[in-house]
Amino acid sequence: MTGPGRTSWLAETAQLPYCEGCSHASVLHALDQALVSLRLDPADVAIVTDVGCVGLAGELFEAAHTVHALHGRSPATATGLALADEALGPGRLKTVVLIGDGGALVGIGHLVHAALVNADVTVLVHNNSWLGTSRAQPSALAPEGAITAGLAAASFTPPLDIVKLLSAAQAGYLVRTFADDPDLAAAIAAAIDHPGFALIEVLEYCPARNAHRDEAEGRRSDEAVAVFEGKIEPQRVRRPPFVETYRSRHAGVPAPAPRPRLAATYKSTLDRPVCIVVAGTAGEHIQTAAQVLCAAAVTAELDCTQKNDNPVTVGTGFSLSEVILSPFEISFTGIEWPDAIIVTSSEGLAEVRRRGLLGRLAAGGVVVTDKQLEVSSALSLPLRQIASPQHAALAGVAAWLAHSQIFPLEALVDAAGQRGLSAAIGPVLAVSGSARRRPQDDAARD
Amino acid sequence: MTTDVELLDVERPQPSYDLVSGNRMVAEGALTAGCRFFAGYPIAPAFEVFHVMTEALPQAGGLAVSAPDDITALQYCIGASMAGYRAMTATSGPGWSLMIESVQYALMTETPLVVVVVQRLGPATGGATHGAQGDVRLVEFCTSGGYTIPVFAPSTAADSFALTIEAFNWAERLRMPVVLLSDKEVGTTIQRLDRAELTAPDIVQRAAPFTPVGGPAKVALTGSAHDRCGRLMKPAGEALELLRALEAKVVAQAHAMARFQYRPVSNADVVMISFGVTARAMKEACHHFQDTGERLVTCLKLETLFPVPERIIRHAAASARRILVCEENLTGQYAAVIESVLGRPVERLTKLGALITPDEIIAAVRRTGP
Repeated sequence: MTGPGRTSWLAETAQLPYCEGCSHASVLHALDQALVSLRLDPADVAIVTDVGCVGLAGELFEAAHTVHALHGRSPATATGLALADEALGPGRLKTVVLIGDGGALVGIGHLVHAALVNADVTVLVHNNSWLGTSRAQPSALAPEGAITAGLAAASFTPPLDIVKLLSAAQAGYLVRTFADDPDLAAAIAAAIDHPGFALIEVLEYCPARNAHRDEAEGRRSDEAVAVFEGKIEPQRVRRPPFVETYRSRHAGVPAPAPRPRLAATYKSTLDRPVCIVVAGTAGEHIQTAAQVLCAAAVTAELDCTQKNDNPVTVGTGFSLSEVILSPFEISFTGIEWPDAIIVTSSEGLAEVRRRGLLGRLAAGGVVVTDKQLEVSSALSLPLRQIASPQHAALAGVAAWLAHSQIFPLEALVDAAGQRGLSAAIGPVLAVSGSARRRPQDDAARD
Repeated sequence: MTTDVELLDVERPQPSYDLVSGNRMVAEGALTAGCRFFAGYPIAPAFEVFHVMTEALPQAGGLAVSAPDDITALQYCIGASMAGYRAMTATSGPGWSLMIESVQYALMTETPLVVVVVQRLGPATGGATHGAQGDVRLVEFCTSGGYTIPVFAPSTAADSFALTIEAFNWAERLRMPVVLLSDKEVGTTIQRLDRAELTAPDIVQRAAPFTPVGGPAKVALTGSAHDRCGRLMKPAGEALELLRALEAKVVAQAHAMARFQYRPVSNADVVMISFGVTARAMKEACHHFQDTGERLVTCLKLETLFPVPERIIRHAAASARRILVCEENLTGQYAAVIESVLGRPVERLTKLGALITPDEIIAAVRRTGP
């Protein structure tokens, strides 16, 4: 790698591997002139090439870093390079993508996002209307009716105006010009000099394609130029680079809250694992209630696991948590024979029934339900009415805990408080109080 | 005066727990391993990795980018890694399917990175919130040419932390993509964890021969067949040598990469082999047989799936009369891998759409027993 003062970035012996009359050669010489005129340090330039004829040129730019990417992916590879350099590195890297019109449509989503992201990437779209390397179909950027490998491969679709498309993506710098534009090198230099995303569409001539055209129609013309109404002077949109926005958005945002540190404060009477299913309606804090139970259990020296399930939609349908509490280390986290089932809504009950859980209630197990649900021999409580639908699950958990007495209810109150649920505690305890096991119950059971 | 009891208290402070998922611990492992770039396309059941990285990376001086699709996510990671920074993305089966092209590109360009695949039920979009271990061979055979991509499989939150670091270390040592193959249950099930008890390998620093794009030394990278200087070349001679080297560098480290848990038992009736979430059920089944003495069994929990830890598989198989491989997929994907290692059939316990339970493993052990 030599310094910025060199007169060409191409290897001295470089033979551009293109057909006679191909525009790629003249456009790449213009790129070379642009790089020379900008007096960039070659160590600060990465040329990222796509697959296709133009992709063969990358490594001939011996001065710069070269990356030969996958077909259509080059804008994304380049954006990753540019983002990392801007956010994590010295922020000097100039990334230049060479892509054909075929690759441009393969990676159209990458181009759109690269424009939106606005990292320092300059894309040269070499549009010669077809996929020249495979000498087959017209590209989506080809004018309608353009013939490639014979009439059968004519384009039947209107051409995609990539400049207009990327204009909608707020691209910072957009140009359309021709391969024989005498100011092409200056146009490319201006695009590279632009500090964010820039794209130049260069309308090119492919002698191989036009050879087919000659056979088919006997005429040669740059119909692409006519369709696209010719040259488009630079369109600039002033936008901050992505990294600047990213940093300003995060400035002053506090570091993530420290993770909870749960220490053993309470004792548990539990001498075997217990399995609890909490089920209700998504969006009604079912999994939060299960997590409060787990946190409380940990402060009572128990191991715990919480396996959650809900439909793909987060805010509709059922929500269900399977909680295991154990004085021993828990390995398997599924529940086959629940010791307790807490159900707060009809959606939760439907899911519990679908899984056949009521029929698999363990001996001595208990079902806690909202009183509006009809489940035989359940502990039926006004969970939703008193604790509100949002805290019905926590009330159900509290009721079960009051009933089972495997550790003090205070542990649950603490855990709820630590999760900002203090306001819910009063109503929750009002419900669970009625579930507290009375001494006469034990006497009756004995 | 200090008593022994007080000394013990000082050395072993009271445990302090958090409630964490495997996905969270993957993110914490990545941050510990020095990951500074995350690009992700959120997908169930992997998205908590995205959330934690997005929350933590700006504070850690890193960059977390939301990509418009899975392919872009991995391409951004590839670019960032080429520039010299540790990068990771997280996905599930549908996203992995899309990423396979880019994984091969990372392999070919010798770009280190980590892809977390949190498996869900497939094929296609399958069951987005439903667990499975069905991507084992989709990960194994993700390259044209059958190259070995290292794959680590966690069973717990603590494994998720340690194996993510291991994945980064091997990505750096071998300069290639490495997969952490988690699953919905390991990724999303919350469990108790004392961070003081976490163990982690030493961090491998990025070093030569890796050379960053944008650094003072010119770099030429290509996904096409190339010579040692990164110049396009017809696949012959030096280019073919390099294609062989891409595989040889992994195979040479197969033994060093093998992570597993195994307690040898001589003359066991059955050796049970599993990985990922099913290894948790296997552990309970193993405890059952040890506690009851009903059968002499042992179990092998594999944490490295690829390169296949052949030595320990052969060793464990040789010590037992029967081999039972347990995994949550339709056909017994890893059982087939083990059969090819041992050159003989093994017993398979497979299941589609639900966790394999300890009782089912116990029953399978009893099934053909004496």
